[in-house]
Amino acid sequence: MPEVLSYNPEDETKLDEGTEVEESENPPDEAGVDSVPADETVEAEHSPDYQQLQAKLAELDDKASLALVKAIGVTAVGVVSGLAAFYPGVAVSLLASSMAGRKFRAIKSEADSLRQTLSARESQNADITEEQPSVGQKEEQSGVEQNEEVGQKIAQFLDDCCPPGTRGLYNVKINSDGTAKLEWKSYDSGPLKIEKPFSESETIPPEITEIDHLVIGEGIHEFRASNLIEVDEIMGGQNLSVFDSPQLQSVNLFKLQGPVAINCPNLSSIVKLKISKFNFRDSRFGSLEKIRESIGVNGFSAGLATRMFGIGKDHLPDRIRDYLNSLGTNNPNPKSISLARGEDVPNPASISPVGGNSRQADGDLSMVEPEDKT
Amino acid sequence: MKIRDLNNQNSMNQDSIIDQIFNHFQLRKEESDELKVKVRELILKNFILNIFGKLSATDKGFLQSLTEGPTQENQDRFAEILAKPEYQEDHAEAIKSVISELLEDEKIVSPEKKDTIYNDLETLLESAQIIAEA
Repeated sequence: MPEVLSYNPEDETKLDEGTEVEESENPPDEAGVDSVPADETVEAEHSPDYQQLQAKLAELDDKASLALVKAIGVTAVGVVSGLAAFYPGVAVSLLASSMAGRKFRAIKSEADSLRQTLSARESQNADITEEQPSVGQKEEQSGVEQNEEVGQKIAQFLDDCCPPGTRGLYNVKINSDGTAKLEWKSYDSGPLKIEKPFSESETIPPEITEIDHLVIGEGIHEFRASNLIEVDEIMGGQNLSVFDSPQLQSVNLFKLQGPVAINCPNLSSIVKLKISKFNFRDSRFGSLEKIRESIGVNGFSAGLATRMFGIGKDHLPDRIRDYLNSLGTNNPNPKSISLARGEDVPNPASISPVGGNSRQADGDLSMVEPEDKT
Repeated sequence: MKIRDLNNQNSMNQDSIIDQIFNHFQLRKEESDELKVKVRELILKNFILNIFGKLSATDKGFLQSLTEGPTQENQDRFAEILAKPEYQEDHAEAIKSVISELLEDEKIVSPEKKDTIYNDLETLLESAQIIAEA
Protein backbone atom coordinates (compact mmCIF):
# COMPACT_ATOMS: atom_id res chain seq x y z
CA MET A 1 0.00 0.00 0.00
CA PRO A 2 1.45 3.37 -0.93
CA GLU A 3 2.17 5.69 1.92
CA VAL A 4 -0.17 8.30 0.64
CA LEU A 5 -1.04 9.54 4.07
CA SER A 6 2.27 9.04 5.73
CA TYR A 7 3.36 11.95 7.86
CA ASN A 8 6.91 12.86 8.55
CA PRO A 9 7.62 15.84 10.81
CA GLU A 10 10.84 16.43 8.91
CA ASP A 11 8.85 17.03 5.79
CA GLU A 12 6.84 19.63 7.61
CA THR A 13 9.99 21.46 8.50
CA LYS A 14 11.11 21.39 4.91
CA LEU A 15 7.77 22.59 3.68
CA ASP A 16 7.66 25.44 6.12
CA GLU A 17 10.80 26.67 4.55
CA GLY A 18 8.98 26.62 1.22
CA THR A 19 11.45 28.01 -1.19
CA GLU A 20 14.29 25.78 -0.24
CA VAL A 21 12.24 22.71 -0.77
CA GLU A 22 10.85 24.06 -4.00
CA GLU A 23 14.28 24.43 -5.44
CA SER A 24 15.06 20.80 -5.01
CA GLU A 25 15.46 19.16 -8.37
CA ASN A 26 15.19 15.63 -7.11
CA PRO A 27 11.80 14.88 -5.69
CA PRO A 28 12.13 12.67 -2.67
CA ASP A 29 11.12 9.15 -3.36
CA GLU A 30 8.14 7.45 -1.96
CA ALA A 31 8.89 5.11 0.86
CA GLY A 32 9.84 1.73 -0.37
CA VAL A 33 10.43 2.76 -3.92
CA ASP A 34 13.88 2.56 -5.33
CA SER A 35 14.45 5.33 -7.77
CA VAL A 36 17.30 6.90 -9.63
CA PRO A 37 18.25 10.46 -8.74
CA ALA A 38 17.59 12.74 -11.67
CA ASP A 39 21.16 13.88 -12.04
CA GLU A 40 22.34 10.29 -12.30
CA THR A 41 19.84 9.38 -14.95
CA VAL A 42 21.27 9.08 -18.41
CA GLU A 43 19.03 10.31 -21.19
CA ALA A 44 19.83 7.44 -23.49
CA GLU A 45 18.76 4.92 -20.92
CA HIS A 46 15.20 6.09 -20.78
CA SER A 47 12.52 3.90 -22.18
CA PRO A 48 10.83 5.12 -25.34
CA ASP A 49 7.64 6.14 -23.57
CA TYR A 50 9.34 7.86 -20.70
CA GLN A 51 10.21 11.17 -22.29
CA GLN A 52 6.86 11.51 -23.99
CA LEU A 53 5.00 10.79 -20.80
CA GLN A 54 7.20 13.08 -18.80
CA ALA A 55 6.69 15.95 -21.24
CA LYS A 56 2.96 15.43 -21.33
CA LEU A 57 2.73 15.26 -17.55
CA ALA A 58 4.73 18.47 -17.24
CA GLU A 59 2.36 20.16 -19.66
CA LEU A 60 -0.70 18.93 -17.76
CA ASP A 61 0.86 19.93 -14.49
CA ASP A 62 1.36 23.47 -15.73
CA LYS A 63 -2.26 23.61 -16.76
CA ALA A 64 -3.48 22.22 -13.47
CA SER A 65 -1.22 24.52 -11.48
CA LEU A 66 -2.45 27.57 -13.33
CA ALA A 67 -6.05 26.48 -12.89
CA LEU A 68 -5.44 26.05 -9.18
CA VAL A 69 -3.83 29.43 -9.03
CA LYS A 70 -6.81 30.95 -10.78
CA ALA A 71 -9.31 29.21 -8.57
CA ILE A 72 -7.63 29.44 -5.23
CA GLY A 73 -5.10 32.20 -5.68
CA VAL A 74 -2.06 32.19 -3.51
CA THR A 75 -3.38 29.31 -1.55
CA ALA A 76 -2.46 27.16 -4.52
CA VAL A 77 1.05 27.22 -3.19
CA GLY A 78 -0.25 26.29 0.21
CA VAL A 79 -2.49 23.62 -1.16
CA VAL A 80 0.38 22.08 -3.02
CA SER A 81 2.47 22.34 0.10
CA GLY A 82 -0.36 20.61 1.86
CA LEU A 83 -0.42 17.97 -0.79
CA ALA A 84 3.24 17.42 -0.24
CA ALA A 85 2.34 16.11 3.16
CA PHE A 86 0.57 13.35 1.33
CA TYR A 87 3.22 12.95 -1.30
CA PRO A 88 6.26 14.15 0.60
CA GLY A 89 8.42 16.56 -1.25
CA VAL A 90 7.06 15.76 -4.64
CA ALA A 91 4.27 18.27 -4.97
CA VAL A 92 6.36 21.24 -4.08
CA SER A 93 9.12 20.24 -6.43
CA LEU A 94 6.66 19.83 -9.23
CA LEU A 95 5.11 23.19 -8.62
CA ALA A 96 8.50 24.78 -8.48
CA SER A 97 9.15 23.55 -11.95
CA SER A 98 6.10 25.23 -13.34
CA MET A 99 5.64 28.79 -14.40
CA ALA A 100 2.92 29.22 -11.82
CA GLY A 101 5.27 28.16 -9.11
CA ARG A 102 7.91 30.66 -10.07
CA LYS A 103 5.40 33.45 -10.42
CA PHE A 104 3.83 32.80 -7.08
CA ARG A 105 7.10 32.48 -5.29
CA ALA A 106 7.95 35.97 -6.52
CA ILE A 107 4.59 37.36 -5.47
CA LYS A 108 4.73 35.62 -2.15
CA SER A 109 8.17 36.97 -1.51
CA GLU A 110 7.07 40.51 -2.26
CA ALA A 111 4.00 40.17 -0.11
CA ASP A 112 5.99 38.69 2.74
CA SER A 113 8.37 41.60 2.55
CA LEU A 114 5.55 44.11 2.74
CA ARG A 115 3.94 42.23 5.55
CA GLN A 116 7.16 42.11 7.53
CA THR A 117 7.71 45.81 7.05
CA LEU A 118 4.23 46.56 8.22
CA SER A 119 4.46 44.19 11.12
CA ALA A 120 7.77 45.65 12.25
CA ARG A 121 6.39 49.16 12.06
CA GLU A 122 3.32 48.20 14.00
CA SER A 123 5.45 46.62 16.69
CA GLN A 124 7.55 49.74 16.92
CA ASN A 125 4.49 51.85 17.18
CA ALA A 126 3.07 49.66 19.91
CA ASP A 127 6.32 49.95 21.85
CA ILE A 128 6.28 53.68 21.56
CA THR A 129 2.69 53.81 22.70
CA GLU A 130 3.43 51.63 25.71
CA GLU A 131 6.48 53.54 26.76
CA GLN A 132 5.19 57.02 26.14
CA PRO A 133 1.44 56.90 26.28
CA SER A 134 1.10 60.57 27.04
CA VAL A 135 3.15 61.91 24.16
CA GLY A 136 0.47 61.72 21.56
CA GLN A 137 1.97 64.21 19.19
CA LYS A 138 5.33 62.51 19.20
CA GLU A 139 3.69 59.22 18.43
CA GLU A 140 1.77 60.76 15.59
CA GLN A 141 4.95 62.20 14.15
CA SER A 142 6.63 58.84 14.42
CA GLY A 143 3.65 57.29 12.70
CA VAL A 144 3.93 59.75 9.83
CA GLU A 145 7.57 58.88 9.34
CA GLN A 146 6.82 55.20 9.45
CA ASN A 147 4.06 55.76 6.97
CA GLU A 148 6.45 56.88 4.38
CA GLU A 149 8.11 53.58 3.72
CA VAL A 150 4.93 51.56 3.70
CA GLY A 151 3.20 54.39 1.88
CA GLN A 152 5.81 54.39 -0.84
CA LYS A 153 5.33 50.71 -1.38
CA ILE A 154 1.60 51.11 -1.49
CA ALA A 155 1.95 54.02 -3.88
CA GLN A 156 4.20 51.96 -6.10
CA PHE A 157 1.70 49.17 -6.04
CA LEU A 158 -1.03 51.58 -7.03
CA ASP A 159 1.08 52.99 -9.83
CA ASP A 160 1.70 49.52 -11.14
CA CYS A 161 -1.84 48.31 -10.95
CA CYS A 162 -4.07 51.33 -10.96
CA PRO A 163 -3.00 54.36 -13.01
CA PRO A 164 -3.26 57.79 -11.40
CA GLY A 165 -6.64 59.31 -12.04
CA THR A 166 -8.45 56.04 -11.70
CA ARG A 167 -7.90 55.46 -8.02
CA GLY A 168 -10.88 55.69 -5.84
CA LEU A 169 -14.04 53.93 -5.01
CA TYR A 170 -17.68 53.90 -5.81
CA ASN A 171 -20.14 54.18 -3.02
CA VAL A 172 -23.80 53.50 -3.29
CA LYS A 173 -25.88 55.14 -0.66
CA ILE A 174 -29.57 54.90 -0.12
CA ASN A 175 -31.25 58.00 1.18
CA SER A 176 -34.16 58.20 3.53
CA ASP A 177 -36.39 59.48 0.74
CA GLY A 178 -35.95 56.31 -1.23
CA THR A 179 -33.41 57.66 -3.63
CA ALA A 180 -29.88 56.53 -3.81
CA LYS A 181 -26.63 58.02 -4.85
CA LEU A 182 -23.77 56.61 -6.76
CA GLU A 183 -20.62 58.26 -5.69
CA TRP A 184 -17.08 58.14 -6.92
CA LYS A 185 -14.36 59.09 -4.54
CA SER A 186 -10.97 59.69 -5.95
CA TYR A 187 -7.89 59.01 -3.93
CA ASP A 188 -5.75 61.09 -6.21
CA SER A 189 -7.33 64.46 -6.38
CA GLY A 190 -9.62 64.86 -3.46
CA PRO A 191 -13.10 63.58 -3.02
CA LEU A 192 -15.30 63.92 -6.04
CA LYS A 193 -18.90 63.06 -5.79
CA ILE A 194 -21.21 61.83 -8.47
CA GLU A 195 -24.80 61.76 -7.46
CA LYS A 196 -27.26 59.79 -9.36
CA PRO A 197 -30.68 59.47 -7.83
CA PHE A 198 -32.68 56.41 -8.57
CA SER A 199 -35.58 54.59 -7.10
CA GLU A 200 -35.84 51.04 -5.99
CA SER A 201 -37.77 50.11 -9.09
CA GLU A 202 -34.80 50.82 -11.25
CA THR A 203 -31.92 48.62 -12.06
CA ILE A 204 -29.04 50.99 -12.27
CA PRO A 205 -26.69 52.02 -13.57
CA PRO A 206 -26.17 50.07 -16.76
CA GLU A 207 -23.19 52.18 -17.72
CA ILE A 208 -20.99 50.62 -15.14
CA THR A 209 -20.03 47.12 -15.96
CA GLU A 210 -16.59 46.86 -14.56
CA ILE A 211 -15.12 48.16 -11.38
CA ASP A 212 -11.62 47.88 -10.19
CA HIS A 213 -11.73 46.91 -6.61
CA LEU A 214 -8.66 47.65 -4.61
CA VAL A 215 -8.21 45.38 -1.69
CA ILE A 216 -5.72 46.52 0.85
CA GLY A 217 -4.97 44.90 4.11
CA GLU A 218 -4.82 41.27 4.98
CA GLY A 219 -7.97 39.46 5.80
CA ILE A 220 -11.34 38.80 4.35
CA HIS A 221 -13.09 41.71 2.69
CA GLU A 222 -16.75 41.11 2.47
CA PHE A 223 -19.18 42.51 0.02
CA ARG A 224 -21.85 42.80 2.59
CA ALA A 225 -24.30 44.62 0.39
CA SER A 226 -23.56 42.68 -2.71
CA ASN A 227 -26.89 40.97 -2.61
CA LEU A 228 -27.85 44.23 -4.23
CA ILE A 229 -25.60 43.59 -7.15
CA GLU A 230 -24.76 40.73 -9.34
CA VAL A 231 -21.14 40.10 -10.02
CA ASP A 232 -20.50 38.22 -13.21
CA GLU A 233 -16.88 37.66 -12.72
CA ILE A 234 -14.00 38.53 -10.54
CA MET A 235 -11.00 39.00 -12.72
CA GLY A 236 -7.36 39.67 -12.24
CA GLY A 237 -6.17 40.19 -8.78
CA GLN A 238 -3.27 38.56 -7.19
CA ASN A 239 -3.17 36.12 -4.40
CA LEU A 240 -6.89 36.05 -3.96
CA SER A 241 -9.38 33.59 -2.78
CA VAL A 242 -13.06 34.11 -3.26
CA PHE A 243 -15.40 32.59 -0.77
CA ASP A 244 -19.09 32.28 -0.75
CA SER A 245 -20.70 33.37 2.42
CA PRO A 246 -22.01 30.91 4.97
CA GLN A 247 -25.47 32.14 4.06
CA LEU A 248 -25.02 31.20 0.45
CA GLN A 249 -23.51 27.78 0.25
CA SER A 250 -23.79 27.09 -3.42
CA VAL A 251 -22.16 29.78 -5.41
CA ASN A 252 -20.46 29.52 -8.71
CA LEU A 253 -17.05 31.07 -8.59
CA PHE A 254 -17.57 32.91 -11.82
CA LYS A 255 -21.19 33.84 -11.42
CA LEU A 256 -21.35 35.35 -8.04
CA GLN A 257 -24.57 36.51 -6.57
CA GLY A 258 -25.35 37.32 -3.02
CA PRO A 259 -22.88 38.04 -0.29
CA VAL A 260 -19.36 37.13 -1.17
CA ALA A 261 -16.05 37.76 0.41
CA ILE A 262 -12.67 38.26 -1.10
CA ASN A 263 -9.82 37.04 0.92
CA CYS A 264 -6.65 39.00 0.59
CA PRO A 265 -3.88 37.07 2.25
CA ASN A 266 -1.30 39.62 1.29
CA LEU A 267 -1.08 43.31 1.71
CA SER A 268 -2.88 44.45 -1.36
CA SER A 269 -4.47 43.34 -4.55
CA ILE A 270 -6.50 44.70 -7.39
CA VAL A 271 -9.60 42.90 -8.45
CA LYS A 272 -11.73 43.78 -11.39
CA LEU A 273 -15.36 43.10 -10.78
CA LYS A 274 -17.55 42.69 -13.75
CA ILE A 275 -20.92 43.87 -12.62
CA SER A 276 -23.98 42.79 -14.49
CA LYS A 277 -26.41 44.98 -12.64
CA PHE A 278 -27.33 46.77 -9.53
CA ASN A 279 -30.57 45.39 -8.38
CA PHE A 280 -32.28 46.95 -5.47
CA ARG A 281 -35.56 45.27 -6.14
CA ASP A 282 -34.16 41.84 -5.58
CA SER A 283 -32.54 42.69 -2.33
CA ARG A 284 -32.98 40.01 0.25
CA PHE A 285 -34.36 42.72 2.44
CA GLY A 286 -37.23 43.08 0.02
CA SER A 287 -37.45 46.81 -0.17
CA LEU A 288 -35.62 49.95 0.66
CA GLU A 289 -37.97 50.44 3.57
CA LYS A 290 -36.98 47.11 4.98
CA ILE A 291 -33.36 47.87 4.43
CA ARG A 292 -33.77 51.00 6.50
CA GLU A 293 -35.65 49.10 9.16
CA SER A 294 -33.10 46.37 9.30
CA ILE A 295 -30.15 48.63 9.77
CA GLY A 296 -31.99 51.18 11.85
CA VAL A 297 -30.67 54.21 10.09
CA ASN A 298 -31.69 56.26 7.14
CA GLY A 299 -29.79 54.55 4.42
CA PHE A 300 -26.63 52.66 4.29
CA SER A 301 -23.73 53.88 6.24
CA ALA A 302 -20.59 54.96 4.52
CA GLY A 303 -18.87 51.96 5.97
CA LEU A 304 -21.30 49.57 4.41
CA ALA A 305 -21.10 51.29 1.08
CA THR A 306 -17.36 51.41 1.27
CA ARG A 307 -17.20 47.72 1.77
CA MET A 308 -19.41 47.29 -1.20
CA PHE A 309 -17.11 48.68 -3.80
CA GLY A 310 -14.07 50.08 -2.22
CA ILE A 311 -11.35 49.50 0.17
CA GLY A 312 -12.37 47.66 3.25
CA LYS A 313 -11.35 50.50 5.45
CA ASP A 314 -12.42 48.78 8.60
CA HIS A 315 -9.78 46.21 7.94
CA LEU A 316 -7.00 48.58 7.06
CA PRO A 317 -4.02 49.00 9.26
CA ASP A 318 -4.28 52.52 10.66
CA ARG A 319 -1.25 53.89 8.94
CA ILE A 320 -2.24 52.65 5.52
CA ARG A 321 -5.69 54.10 6.02
CA ASP A 322 -4.17 57.39 7.06
CA TYR A 323 -1.93 57.31 4.07
CA LEU A 324 -4.78 56.70 1.69
CA ASN A 325 -6.86 59.34 3.38
CA SER A 326 -4.03 61.77 3.01
CA LEU A 327 -4.09 61.23 -0.71
CA GLY A 328 -7.63 62.45 -0.81
CA THR A 329 -7.38 65.40 1.49
CA ASN A 330 -4.57 67.37 -0.03
CA ASN A 331 -6.82 69.70 -1.91
CA PRO A 332 -8.28 72.38 0.31
CA ASN A 333 -11.28 73.00 -1.88
CA PRO A 334 -12.68 69.79 -3.25
CA LYS A 335 -15.72 69.99 -5.45
CA SER A 336 -18.37 67.50 -6.19
CA ILE A 337 -20.40 66.78 -9.25
CA SER A 338 -24.01 65.88 -9.36
CA LEU A 339 -25.49 64.09 -12.35
CA ALA A 340 -29.00 64.34 -13.60
CA ARG A 341 -31.01 61.16 -13.66
CA GLY A 342 -30.22 59.06 -16.66
CA GLU A 343 -26.97 60.74 -17.38
CA ASP A 344 -24.05 58.50 -17.95
CA VAL A 345 -21.73 58.13 -15.09
CA PRO A 346 -18.33 59.20 -16.31
CA ASN A 347 -15.39 56.96 -16.26
CA PRO A 348 -13.34 57.82 -13.22
CA ALA A 349 -10.35 58.48 -15.42
CA SER A 350 -12.27 61.11 -17.35
CA ILE A 351 -13.41 63.04 -14.33
CA SER A 352 -11.67 66.35 -14.03
CA PRO A 353 -9.53 66.74 -10.99
CA VAL A 354 -10.80 68.83 -8.15
CA GLY A 355 -11.58 72.27 -9.38
CA GLY A 356 -12.27 71.15 -12.91
CA ASN A 357 -15.57 72.47 -14.24
CA SER A 358 -15.84 70.75 -17.55
CA ARG A 359 -18.90 68.75 -16.68
CA GLN A 360 -20.60 71.65 -15.02
CA ALA A 361 -20.42 73.51 -18.29
CA ASP A 362 -23.00 71.10 -19.63
CA GLY A 363 -25.59 72.74 -17.51
CA ASP A 364 -26.94 69.50 -16.16
CA LEU A 365 -24.63 69.35 -13.28
CA SER A 366 -24.59 71.18 -10.07
CA MET A 367 -22.14 71.47 -7.31
CA VAL A 368 -22.92 69.82 -4.07
CA GLU A 369 -21.20 70.03 -0.81
CA PRO A 370 -18.39 67.59 -0.36
CA GLU A 371 -19.11 64.91 2.07
CA ASP A 372 -17.22 64.44 5.28
CA LYS A 373 -14.64 61.74 4.99
CA THR A 374 -15.16 59.01 7.41
CA MET B 1 -14.42 3.23 8.95
CA LYS B 2 -11.87 5.85 9.82
CA ILE B 3 -11.36 8.67 7.41
CA ARG B 4 -7.73 7.79 6.98
CA ASP B 5 -8.62 4.21 6.13
CA LEU B 6 -11.25 5.39 3.73
CA ASN B 7 -8.86 7.70 2.00
CA ASN B 8 -6.24 5.00 1.84
CA GLN B 9 -8.75 2.67 0.34
CA ASN B 10 -9.73 5.18 -2.31
CA SER B 11 -6.13 6.00 -2.96
CA MET B 12 -5.41 2.34 -3.35
CA ASN B 13 -8.15 2.14 -5.93
CA GLN B 14 -6.60 5.07 -7.64
CA ASP B 15 -3.14 3.56 -7.52
CA SER B 16 -4.45 0.28 -8.77
CA ILE B 17 -5.93 2.07 -11.77
CA ILE B 18 -2.72 3.94 -12.42
CA ASP B 19 -0.70 0.75 -12.10
CA GLN B 20 -2.81 -1.05 -14.64
CA ILE B 21 -2.79 1.83 -17.07
CA PHE B 22 0.96 2.11 -16.78
CA ASN B 23 1.32 -1.55 -17.57
CA HIS B 24 0.50 -0.56 -21.12
CA PHE B 25 3.56 1.64 -21.33
CA GLN B 26 7.08 0.49 -21.95
CA LEU B 27 8.77 1.82 -18.88
CA ARG B 28 11.46 0.66 -16.55
CA LYS B 29 10.34 0.26 -12.97
CA GLU B 30 12.05 3.37 -11.66
CA GLU B 31 10.74 5.42 -14.54
CA SER B 32 7.28 4.10 -14.01
CA ASP B 33 7.42 4.82 -10.29
CA GLU B 34 8.61 8.34 -10.89
CA LEU B 35 5.89 9.11 -13.39
CA LYS B 36 3.18 7.53 -11.28
CA VAL B 37 4.02 9.92 -8.49
CA LYS B 38 3.53 12.78 -10.91
CA VAL B 39 0.27 11.33 -12.11
CA ARG B 40 -1.04 11.01 -8.57
CA GLU B 41 -0.06 14.57 -7.86
CA LEU B 42 -1.80 15.72 -11.00
CA ILE B 43 -4.93 13.80 -10.15
CA LEU B 44 -5.00 15.38 -6.73
CA LYS B 45 -4.75 18.86 -8.22
CA ASN B 46 -7.56 18.09 -10.62
CA PHE B 47 -9.58 16.59 -7.83
CA ILE B 48 -9.28 19.76 -5.80
CA LEU B 49 -10.25 21.81 -8.81
CA ASN B 50 -13.27 19.58 -9.37
CA ILE B 51 -14.56 19.94 -5.85
CA PHE B 52 -13.50 23.49 -5.13
CA GLY B 53 -16.79 25.02 -6.21
CA LYS B 54 -18.67 22.60 -3.98
CA LEU B 55 -16.68 23.19 -0.85
CA SER B 56 -18.29 25.06 1.99
CA ALA B 57 -16.95 28.46 2.90
CA THR B 58 -15.37 26.89 5.95
CA ASP B 59 -13.55 24.27 3.92
CA LYS B 60 -12.40 26.82 1.40
CA GLY B 61 -11.13 28.90 4.25
CA PHE B 62 -9.37 25.87 5.59
CA LEU B 63 -7.40 25.49 2.40
CA GLN B 64 -5.77 28.73 3.36
CA SER B 65 -4.37 27.27 6.51
CA LEU B 66 -2.28 25.02 4.34
CA THR B 67 -0.22 28.04 3.33
CA GLU B 68 1.34 27.85 6.76
CA GLY B 69 2.62 24.40 5.99
CA PRO B 70 1.12 21.06 6.80
CA THR B 71 0.51 19.93 10.31
CA GLN B 72 -0.83 16.64 11.52
CA GLU B 73 -4.14 18.32 12.21
CA ASN B 74 -4.59 19.94 8.84
CA GLN B 75 -3.46 16.81 7.05
CA ASP B 76 -6.17 14.87 8.80
CA ARG B 77 -8.72 17.47 7.96
CA PHE B 78 -7.54 17.67 4.40
CA ALA B 79 -7.92 13.91 4.13
CA GLU B 80 -11.33 14.17 5.71
CA ILE B 81 -12.48 16.68 3.10
CA LEU B 82 -11.11 14.71 0.19
CA ALA B 83 -12.62 11.50 1.47
CA LYS B 84 -16.16 12.79 1.69
CA PRO B 85 -18.41 10.35 -0.12
CA GLU B 86 -20.07 13.10 -2.12
CA TYR B 87 -16.71 13.94 -3.71
CA GLN B 88 -15.76 10.45 -4.80
CA GLU B 89 -17.34 10.92 -8.19
CA ASP B 90 -15.17 14.00 -8.62
CA HIS B 91 -12.19 11.90 -7.62
CA ALA B 92 -13.02 9.36 -10.30
CA GLU B 93 -13.52 12.20 -12.76
CA ALA B 94 -10.10 13.59 -11.92
CA ILE B 95 -8.50 10.21 -12.51
CA LYS B 96 -10.35 9.84 -15.77
CA SER B 97 -9.44 13.27 -17.04
CA VAL B 98 -5.74 12.94 -16.30
CA ILE B 99 -5.42 9.47 -17.80
CA SER B 100 -7.55 10.48 -20.76
CA GLU B 101 -5.29 13.43 -21.46
CA LEU B 102 -2.35 11.06 -21.60
CA LEU B 103 -4.17 8.71 -23.90
CA GLU B 104 -5.13 11.50 -26.24
CA ASP B 105 -1.51 12.15 -27.04
CA GLU B 106 -0.65 10.11 -30.09
CA LYS B 107 3.03 10.36 -29.33
CA ILE B 108 2.36 8.33 -26.23
CA VAL B 109 -0.35 5.97 -27.30
CA SER B 110 -1.24 4.89 -30.81
CA PRO B 111 -4.89 5.36 -31.81
CA GLU B 112 -5.35 1.60 -32.06
CA LYS B 113 -4.03 1.00 -28.59
CA LYS B 114 -5.87 3.96 -27.12
CA ASP B 115 -9.30 2.41 -27.34
CA THR B 116 -8.16 -0.71 -25.51
CA ILE B 117 -6.59 1.23 -22.69
CA TYR B 118 -9.53 3.58 -22.48
CA ASN B 119 -11.92 0.67 -22.10
CA ASP B 120 -9.70 -0.69 -19.35
CA LEU B 121 -9.85 2.66 -17.64
CA GLU B 122 -13.64 2.79 -17.76
CA THR B 123 -13.88 -0.70 -16.30
CA LEU B 124 -11.37 0.07 -13.60
CA LEU B 125 -13.16 3.25 -12.65
CA GLU B 126 -16.46 1.45 -12.38
CA SER B 127 -14.87 -1.20 -10.18
CA ALA B 128 -13.25 1.43 -8.01
CA GLN B 129 -16.57 3.16 -7.55
CA ILE B 130 -18.15 -0.08 -6.39
CA ILE B 131 -15.39 -0.63 -3.87
CA ALA B 132 -15.70 2.89 -2.60
CA GLU B 133 -19.45 2.57 -2.16
CA ALA B 134 -19.14 -0.78 -0.45
